[in-house]
Amino acid sequence: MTEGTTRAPSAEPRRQRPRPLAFVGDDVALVQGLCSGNPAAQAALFDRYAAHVRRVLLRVLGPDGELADALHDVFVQALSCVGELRDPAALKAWITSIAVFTARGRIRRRRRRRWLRLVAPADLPEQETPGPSAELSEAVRSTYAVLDRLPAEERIAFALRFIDGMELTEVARASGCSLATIKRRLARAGELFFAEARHHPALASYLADGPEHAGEAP
Amino acid sequence: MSDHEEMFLRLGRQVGAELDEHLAGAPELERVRERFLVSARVERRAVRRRGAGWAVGLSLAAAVLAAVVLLVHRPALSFQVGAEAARGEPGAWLAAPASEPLDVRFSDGTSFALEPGSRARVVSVESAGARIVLERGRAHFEVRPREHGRWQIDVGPFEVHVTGTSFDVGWDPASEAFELRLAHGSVALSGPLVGERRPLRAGQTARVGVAQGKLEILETAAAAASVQAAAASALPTAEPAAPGALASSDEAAEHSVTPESRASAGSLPGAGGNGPGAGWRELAAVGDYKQAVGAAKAVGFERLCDSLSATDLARLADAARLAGDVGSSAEAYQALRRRFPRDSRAALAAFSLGKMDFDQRGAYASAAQWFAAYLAEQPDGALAQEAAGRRLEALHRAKDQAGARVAAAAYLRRYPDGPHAALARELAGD
Repeated sequence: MTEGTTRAPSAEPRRQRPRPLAFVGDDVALVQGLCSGNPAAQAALFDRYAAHVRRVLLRVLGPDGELADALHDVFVQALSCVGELRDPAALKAWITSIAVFTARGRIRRRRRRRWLRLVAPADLPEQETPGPSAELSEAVRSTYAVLDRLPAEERIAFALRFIDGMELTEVARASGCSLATIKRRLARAGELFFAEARHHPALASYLADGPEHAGEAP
Repeated sequence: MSDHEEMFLRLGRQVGAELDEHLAGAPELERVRERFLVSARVERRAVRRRGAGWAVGLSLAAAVLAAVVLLVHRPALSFQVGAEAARGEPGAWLAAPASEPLDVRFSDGTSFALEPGSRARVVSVESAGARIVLERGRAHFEVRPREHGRWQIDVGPFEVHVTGTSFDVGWDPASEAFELRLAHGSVALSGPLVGERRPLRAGQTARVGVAQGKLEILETAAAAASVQAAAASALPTAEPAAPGALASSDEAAEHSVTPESRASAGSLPGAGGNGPGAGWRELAAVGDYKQAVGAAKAVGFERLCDSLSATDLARLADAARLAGDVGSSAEAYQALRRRFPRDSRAALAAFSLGKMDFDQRGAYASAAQWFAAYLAEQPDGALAQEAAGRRLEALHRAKDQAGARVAAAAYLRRYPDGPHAALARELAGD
């Protein structure tokens, strides 16, 4: 385990804030750096895990205009509670769980907004959540249209397991619950997904095996 | 791997690949990085201000320059909404659910709690304060006193100008009834019948019936003293509030949730923004939960549990829970239930106690009782489905198979498609 700093490359574009000194070290060193408020460690945290976190958020939330905000929130939250991380070697799993927590909050907020729109549309600000982009295939748009109708926990389990391809234990850890709970959620998500997917022809070719198997726990 | 799993994976792989392509050209990663590093710098400055004093090695010139830059470009306050601490956006609609309050916390320590069913909007935020519109319902505000602080609360046709204080305000658009109860500090109130910037001081309550053309300014200090005395004599002893032991302190709680008693609580060390223990709230607000609990213990955790308002007790309990201090968290949640049994947060406290017993202590029988308490108090609450599911799971793990069967049957009647339905069917013997 090594921790050290070297000078950052000087060829930064003009008018950009210079990057902090580069951070060298494994995740344990990185956590130590974060706990001591090292700016280079903060930049390194983002550089190491931004792509991963964005990938997780994207899979759970779908193509979403709020993705950048969600990504920012994850790292701010991580920074504010890194002192609570008991096993620094598990940094990736820990930040994944923060990403899932953040995504869950955003899904619930979207639902509340949707519910409020039904109740008092005239009173509400225009805060449409952008839908999937037109350049995406109908299958992707249909998948997220179906996921939008699933309860948040089932949606998260489905997205992490099937779209991100996580193992069940990883899904459980990221969701902060037991393996048994995740199996139940996935079984339930499968049932609901099948029931909703019937209304989306673009998904027919993927789900040709029929709903009779969908309720079984993986 | 089963067929259906393979099917979903096939679809998921296709979706994932398309999403990755969709992201490939997205430029926002660098922008988010910059934004995050700015947030981190602001946080570091806040931490230094909180405890470490001036940074060593800064030259005087640099310090002056930094101060000038800060004065010219002081960042606007940020705020977080709800237990999830979702980042607040100016202009966004804030709607407290029917069954629970909604907390909004600003980065300077100011906060307000919308009571269940209330609606508000944070219209604009700047470095010195914010403008908030309470559309309807009631809210409790705790504005942190600051030099040059500027906070304005618009309530129906009224404006409340605040510099640093604690008060409750309510507006019913249907009856055009306005009420402001000032616990401590001072505010200036503008509006129909009131005039322009009428000063109100601690202990006063302004009531305006716009439709009836009626204005009352009441002196509540004397009433507060009698209420406080009544509450103190009726408060239960230090026994923990067990599940089901709700009714014993109803009267005391009715008194203790009044703004007047909040004012008296606020005068105790650690309870208000100016007391020596005020730090725990600031630390909790920035997510430094362990330090927050430490600060609360330094001024007397038990004393805080006996004096804080319901809002602050919930915050303290949450902070302890997030710090992993299960014992302290349980103490604060139980104090909340004991002192404010009719507050909707008492039911949320029961749910949190159940979760802690279940997840952290493995005390399943007790967890089942807490979940039952939540369900008894909030049968249609936002967490009712989760509480019902957790309860049957807790009973099952506590090997109370008869109880689990009954709970499972009740669950299936109410949530036949709920996430615990499969377990419930198994336990019910379907």
